[in-house]
Order: sequence, then C-alpha cells, then structure tokens
Amino acid sequence: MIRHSFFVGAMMATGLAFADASWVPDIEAWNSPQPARPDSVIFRNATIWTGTDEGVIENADLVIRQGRISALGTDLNVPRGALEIDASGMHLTPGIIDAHSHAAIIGGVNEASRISTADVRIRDVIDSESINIYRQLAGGVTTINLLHGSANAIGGQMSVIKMRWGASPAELVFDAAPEGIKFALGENPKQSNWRAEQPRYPQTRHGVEQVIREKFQQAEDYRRAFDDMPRGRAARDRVPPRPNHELQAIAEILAGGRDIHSHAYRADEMLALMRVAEQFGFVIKTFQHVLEGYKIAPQMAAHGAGGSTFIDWWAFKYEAIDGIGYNPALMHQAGVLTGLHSDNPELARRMNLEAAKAVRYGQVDPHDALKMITAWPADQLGIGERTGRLATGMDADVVLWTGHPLSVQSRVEQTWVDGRRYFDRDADQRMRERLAAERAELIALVLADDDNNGNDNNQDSPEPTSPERRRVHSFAAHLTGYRASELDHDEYCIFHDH
Amino acid sequence: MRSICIFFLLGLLSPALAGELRQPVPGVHALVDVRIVTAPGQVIESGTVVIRDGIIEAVGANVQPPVDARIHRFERSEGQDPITIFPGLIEPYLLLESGENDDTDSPAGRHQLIQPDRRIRARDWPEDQVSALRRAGFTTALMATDSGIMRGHGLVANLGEGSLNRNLLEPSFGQFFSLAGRAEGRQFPGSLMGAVALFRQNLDDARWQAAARAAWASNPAQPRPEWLEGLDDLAPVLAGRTPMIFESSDLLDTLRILELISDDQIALTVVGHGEEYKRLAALEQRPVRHILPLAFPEPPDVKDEDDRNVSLEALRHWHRAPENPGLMAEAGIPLMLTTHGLGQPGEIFKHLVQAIDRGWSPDQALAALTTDPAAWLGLSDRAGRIRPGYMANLVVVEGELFSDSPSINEVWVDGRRHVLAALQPPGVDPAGTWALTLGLGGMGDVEATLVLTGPPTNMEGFLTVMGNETPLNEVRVSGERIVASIDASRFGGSGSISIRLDIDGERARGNGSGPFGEFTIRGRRTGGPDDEVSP
Repeated sequence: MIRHSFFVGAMMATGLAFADASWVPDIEAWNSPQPARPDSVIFRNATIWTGTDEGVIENADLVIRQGRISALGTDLNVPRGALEIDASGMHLTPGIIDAHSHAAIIGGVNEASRISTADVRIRDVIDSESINIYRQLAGGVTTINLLHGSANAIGGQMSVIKMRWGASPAELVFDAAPEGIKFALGENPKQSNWRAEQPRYPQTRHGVEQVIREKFQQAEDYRRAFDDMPRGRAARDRVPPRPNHELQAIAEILAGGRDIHSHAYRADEMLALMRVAEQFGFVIKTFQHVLEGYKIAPQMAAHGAGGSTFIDWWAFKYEAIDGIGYNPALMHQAGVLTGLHSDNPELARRMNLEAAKAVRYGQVDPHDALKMITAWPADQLGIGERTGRLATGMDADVVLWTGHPLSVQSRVEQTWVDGRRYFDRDADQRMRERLAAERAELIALVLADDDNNGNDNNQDSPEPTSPERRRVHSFAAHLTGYRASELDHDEYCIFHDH
Repeated sequence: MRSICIFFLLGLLSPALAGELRQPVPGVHALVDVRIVTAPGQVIESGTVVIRDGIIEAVGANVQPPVDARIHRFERSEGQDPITIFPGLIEPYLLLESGENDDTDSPAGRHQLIQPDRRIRARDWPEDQVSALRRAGFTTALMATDSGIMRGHGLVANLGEGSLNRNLLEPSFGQFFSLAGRAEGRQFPGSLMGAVALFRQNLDDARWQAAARAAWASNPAQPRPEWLEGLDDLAPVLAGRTPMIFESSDLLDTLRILELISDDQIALTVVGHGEEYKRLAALEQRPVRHILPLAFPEPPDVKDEDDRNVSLEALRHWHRAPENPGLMAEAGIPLMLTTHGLGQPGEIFKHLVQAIDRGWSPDQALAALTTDPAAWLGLSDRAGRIRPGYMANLVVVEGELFSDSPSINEVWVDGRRHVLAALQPPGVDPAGTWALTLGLGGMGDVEATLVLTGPPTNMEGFLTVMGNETPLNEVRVSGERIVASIDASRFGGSGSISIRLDIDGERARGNGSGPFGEFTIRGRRTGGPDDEVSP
C-alpha cells in the first residue's frame, strides 16, 4: 500500500481531475443464486496437477462427492448419477489461493490513523458485492486473504474468504482459517511517502521495531491483568480489568492464537522483527512482498517464516530497489515456504502467469511453480488441510483450464468452490443473452412509465439517474465495474498498492 | 377577578344573556360532518370530532357538538372531494443538524464521535424542519442529532408552533448510532472498519463501566475504576429499556449492524436505505424493526436510443425499489416510515402511492405512519389514533391522503389549527385602521390597533399592542377572512403568533394563538385606507 502518494499530492495540487468510468457489469452478487452442489461430479480424462507428492497425473479422473474430493486417479468407479465432465485435453488444478488481497473490502483498506490498529477487523468490512469476486473466479482464484493496508506497524485483523460469489459477507468467510493480523515495516508505517500535518511517531525503521516491542510488552501486561483476576467466589465485587480490543488482539499473538503476516521489503528489518518474535516466543508466519527475502532466506527458513512475494514488481520505491525475479526461486531453494501474491485485484486474475514467470526466473519446476499460487499460500494461511491441493478429503476447489495452466494461451473454463460451479465460461456466455433481454424489458418499462405519466423529467433533470453513478479519479479511469461506494471514500488506498 | 365576574353573571342569568354565553370559547372545536379515519382500517363515513383544550373529547357518527364549541363545517359543492380527517402522522426519525454547539475539543479519554450523553435542548428546536413536517401532515416526531457514531439521546415532541417547551412529550427516548462517522484529518477513525472498532470498544467499555462501578460500590476496599464520561448513558440501551436506533447506509451496512448487535437483549431498530429487498433472506431470519425511508430512484434516462448510458443495475433498482416496503412487510419485518432522505417531507406521498401499487397494504402503510410509531414510542394511549382522550393531532385532507400530492387543508397539533389550503380569492377589502380588543383569558383584555395597507391580494401592515408596533410577517385575505402572523420574539416568546379575523362589514371577530396561548379578538374599523395613519 501507499506507493503513489507523491503523485496524489501532485494531483491534489493541480486540482482533481475526474472521469466517468461508466461501464458497469450487468451481474450483481445479490441476485446471483448459489450454484447447485451436485451430489457427485466426475472430471474425465484430465491432466491433473495435484499440488501433492502425486505430482501431475495424465489422463486421470477426479471425483467430487458432496463438496469434497473423494477420489482421483485412473480407472475410478463412476458414482451412480454423477455429473460427468469431459476434460479430455484439459488440465485440472487446485483453486488459486491469493495470500495478499484487498479486492473485496469496503470503506477503506487502511485505518491509517494510529501506529497500531490491532482492534480493527477486515471481517467487519468484507464487500460481498464487489465484482472482483466474480472476475477473479474467472481467473481461477478460489480463496483470498483480505488484508488490512500497511500504513501502520500493527495493522488490522485479516479475513480469509472463499470466492462464493453471491453469498453474504458472513457466508464468504472461510471458517477453517486461523486468525491473523497484518504488520508492516519500513517506509509505509514510518510515513516516508505521505505527509501528515503532525508526523506520527515513529519516523524511522528502528522506531517501528521499538513500537512493536512496546506493544507486545503492553499486551503481556494486559493478559497478566486478566490472568491475575481471582476466579469463582473471590471474583465477586472485584473491579475487572477494562477490556482493550487492541491489546487483546496482540495478546492473542503471544498466546499463539493469531498469526502475523508482515509487510516488509528490506532484509535488515525482517531480521529485526524475527528477533522480536523469538524474544517473545512466537513465529512470524509470513513476510509479505519480502523483496529482499533472497538475502536472508536461510534465516527465514530457520525461524519458520514463509515468504509471499511478487515475481517481477520492484523499484516502485526506494526500499523496493533490490527486488529480483529470482527471489521466489532462491527462497524456495533455501527451504522457505514460498508463495506468489497479487496485492492487486487486476493482477489477481492472471496469477497463473505469475507462477509461470517463476519457471522463467530460476527454473522452478512447473509443478512447484503452481504450488506457489495454490498449496503453499494455503499452508501460509493455515488452510492447507482444506484447500490448495487436489487430494482425497480436500474441499472441491478446482479449476479446469483449456490447456497447460502456466501457458499464456490457456484460459479458465470452469472454477468450482466447495463442489459448486461458480464460474463456467459457457454459462457466462448464455447469461449475457438473458441479461440483454432483461435490459430490453426494463427499458420498455421505463418508456411506458414515461408515456403513462406524460413524464418529461428526464430531459430536464441533470441529476444522476442512478445512485451508482461513478465519478472516478482520472488515474482510476481504467478501473471499470466498481460500485461508487468501493471507490468514493478510499481513493487513498485504491491507488496505493503495496 | 374574571371568574368572579362570570360567577356573578351566572347568578343573574337571563334569557337575553344566555345567547351570549353560548359563544364559542378558545380551545373548544367541533369538526362536523366529516369522514373520519380514526385508525388504519377504521372509518366513520360521516361524523364529528370534538376537541377541548388540545384533547379529543368525542368522536363519532352521532356526536353532538357542545354548545361552547366553535363549529368547523367544511362546505362541499358539487364535484368537490370529501373532507377526511386522519390521525396526525408520526415521524420516527427527524435528524437535527448538529451546529456549533458540539464540543470539538474533547478532553483526553473522550472521543468526539462518542456522545451518548448528548441531548437535544430547547435552543436546538428545529423551527424550519418542524413546520415543513407539519405542512406534510406530521404532528409528532422523534428527533436526534445527526453527527457522530454514538449520537446521544432522542427526544419526542409534537410539531406545534412555539418552542420545545410547549411541545415536549418525552425528554429522552432511544439512543442513536451510525457507522458513518469519521474523525477529521488523520485522526482515528478514518475508515469504516475503524468506526466499527471504535463503536465496539465503547459498547464494551460501557458494559465494563457498569460492572466495575457496581463492584466498587459494594466493595470500596480496592482501587477505584477510572470513569469514562458519557458511557453511563448507554446503560438503558444495553438493558433493552430503550431502543438502539442504528442508521444503516446501505445493504452491507445493515448486515454489518445485525452482526454487530447480536445481543438479543438490545432492542435494535435499523434505519434502512431502500435496498433491503436485495438480501431479504438475511433480514427475514432476524426480523429487526425498521424505520424505512421512501426515497425511490427517478426513472433512468433511456429516451435517446443511441445514448443509453444506463446500467442494468440502475434499471433493476428503479424497477424493484417500490416493491421494497411490501416485500419487507411480507417477510414479517416490522416497519415504520420516515421522510428522512427526501428533499421535502411531502414527497413521501407519491412514493407511498407507488409502494401501495406494488403490493403494500394501504392500512399497513397508514399504520407505519401512525399507530406503529405511536406504539414504539410508548404513545399508544395518546397518539396515532382519533380517539377520546388522545392528543388532538389531526390532518384534514380533501380527497385521498395517499395520492401523489394530497390536498392537506389543515393540520391540527394539540388542538391548534394550522390552515394550509389554497386561499380563496379575497371577498373583502380590509384596508384601513382597526381598533381591536384582544381577550387574553385570565390576563384580561388588551387594546390593540391593526393597520392594513395595499390591495387585498398584496397587503402589508402592522399591529400595535401597548405602544409596541410590530410589522406583520405575512398577511393574506381569503374570502372574508384575514390570516396574519407576527414574530413572537417581539413579545419575548419564540416562534410566531398567528391571527385569524373574520370580517363582517366594519366589524371583525376572530382569534389568535402563539407561544403564550390562545386569545380572542374582536373590534371594528375606525379609519379608511386613505385616512392619516397614526400608530
């Protein structure tokens, strides 16, 4: 997050330029019914990328029963009444897991005020209506980790969701995902690239480390106050400690109940954070972006920290200047649990090509490269027992590709989540005809309404006819299909990736 | 003094004086030969409503007007719509702009968006909003302040003339909330999730404070808990003794609020947004009472076939929005209506017509404006119906109330009449100087001079009372009646004093009302329009 702030400043200075991004998708989440879950499904004759030690199996079948994968291999018994899908010539992979996303958050991605906002929860602001969910399904993504931004050393609590397009925020939440929280190091928390009327403490990297250390000490004291409360009869008439949601969340980290996913670029401050963690007796679950991870890969592996990185985004700010394309390959070779993330709703639709680049830079085995966007980010998020692999008992989060999943010529034919077909290219095409018919019907109704009432108000009324009219910042004009509420209040964050 | 006189007169009662005693007295009215909707679904086709001192005394088809009542008969000529009397409408969500009164410098430990201890005071009385609502037939409202996350106490008042002092029904009702509040600059909270966190922390703090203070009260031999100002005011809402009124900004906000307030003990009421139909199933599972705005979208512009830059999303919402109230009612969600979000309160009627066309029951719609909010506000025994003992809050409508633009002729609040109907052409020319006697009841009589100048269609003038010359704010001649108003601040009151005078040649008789009460007026013309005017 917060990358182009000097650019924003310049835009502010020259006056805001607005443009109408008027294209709007015709589909909406609220009227998209939940797809049926067939009792059993069999994909026939596919090339199956398991994400497990089974490797890639040619000419194999995969069976789904009641939302879970029940068998894969050759010569399988076809369950009676199973929905058969001929996957000849096609490839089947696990659904893609994006461990770093802000794609379905409403009302601001950053609570950029305090240095620690551990009390804010992404869970409260999941945007079930965002078109990003459907679009990313069309790119094969089935689970994303919605993270708070990186404006503060200790950010908000994250929320892992499954891409159940049409479901409510509560229904999107992936129940098996452990709790987690965003941390951030470097330029963003120390406000290098954005101005504030009153600079916030700290303004240096070692200040950030100090703040984090201090918060853990406070959280220890907080937890002790509760631990020291008498129990039972002795607790009667005792003033209880005052609840503090911020320290509560940090105390959960100390108790092992909340994983840290920390935004970081530079090697020195990642080493510093791992030392703090070791001192307090826990592990940093992942570093996010981690562009200099290749410099400290052995130390990360020894600590147990995963690395969730870009393959070829670097040099967009000073602390990102040492990024290299070989970073994922080098971290992986050193034994770091490595994944590739999007941090961007547009990039998220083509994560298979990010994986392909890991083959190009560092000759990562193609199956391992695919694991960098499936099995390994699932492990980083603590959901590897449920999704990210094609194996018996796993959630049926499956993507059917027209060809080799790491090829620029392949595209997604079908995306299944929990054994339900949430995206199907053919169905999408058919749906467009229905939508055109619906549109024609409604326009006829508007015209009839005007005739009946002798209405002429449309000619005279300059007011927007829809509450959803989009007025978008000019450098967001390429972002189409977003609801006004997704863009309005948070230009600051929409355009400040990583 | 005066009562002694009356006693004396009664003792000497003679047939000649009896006629004089039958004169109507201020505060007693009978609306005769009218159609009366006493409550949703309950209609008296022709009857009489008797009002005495602001209270409905009698209602019925066979009620005789008392001798001391002023008779209001609505003459109908051929082809004119009948007159119907409805109960005064109730607005359950009137937001007052928080002015400069707000504390901007909060002391340490207090957040400026957290103001559960805020109350509306007499100086906050929203004169303009009150009169606008009254013109649309509303006679009672629940009002609150419009800013912050925890916004404070609401207050229930009638929408009569004068100040809060005259209109207050209930000084504290409900606590008001919204997640739309943000701190200024780079202060916390700057995001929606920050606002939720601040709300959640303060709700927990309020619970903690109650427990901590109680523990310390019974056992003082321990460190005293810190005191968090303002949060004690949340105790009634946490205990469910008064409603939590939560304004939702959109579909997702409603789902968020329902999740946030899962405590069944809290009497949650959600102020809606009009998109509830989109995820009705979620609301159906937990049918929380709603205060629903009726702001439907205008039809999208599709006239130009070559430039139909309109989304299917907007078309859908235009088509579906009027179904929303009916669908919610069908789903078992208790509804009340609000004019909140409309440009003018009167716009609610055309949207009501649409909603009824699209399946909502008219009786339910009327209940959502009268009996339902009355019950919710704890006023079932005094508001929302036309029934003896209830406040004389009435709407006098020519034709249908639920029509695009209903002809609301009069609105009565606490037995005071507010005439709204279009004026008849002037039937008299009252220009000149009038010597008047104002009968102020227990305070005796006061002499006054009224000077009117200009043509009947465009008059101005001033009233002189005890040497105090006051210009008339407004003076209109309708038929044989003069309707005028004066700024009451000239006499140390707030609001305005209204005067109605019926002209009969050179004689005038009528009444007036203002912040100090009602009074009678009688007098005669002492000088023509061209005479020298001596104030």
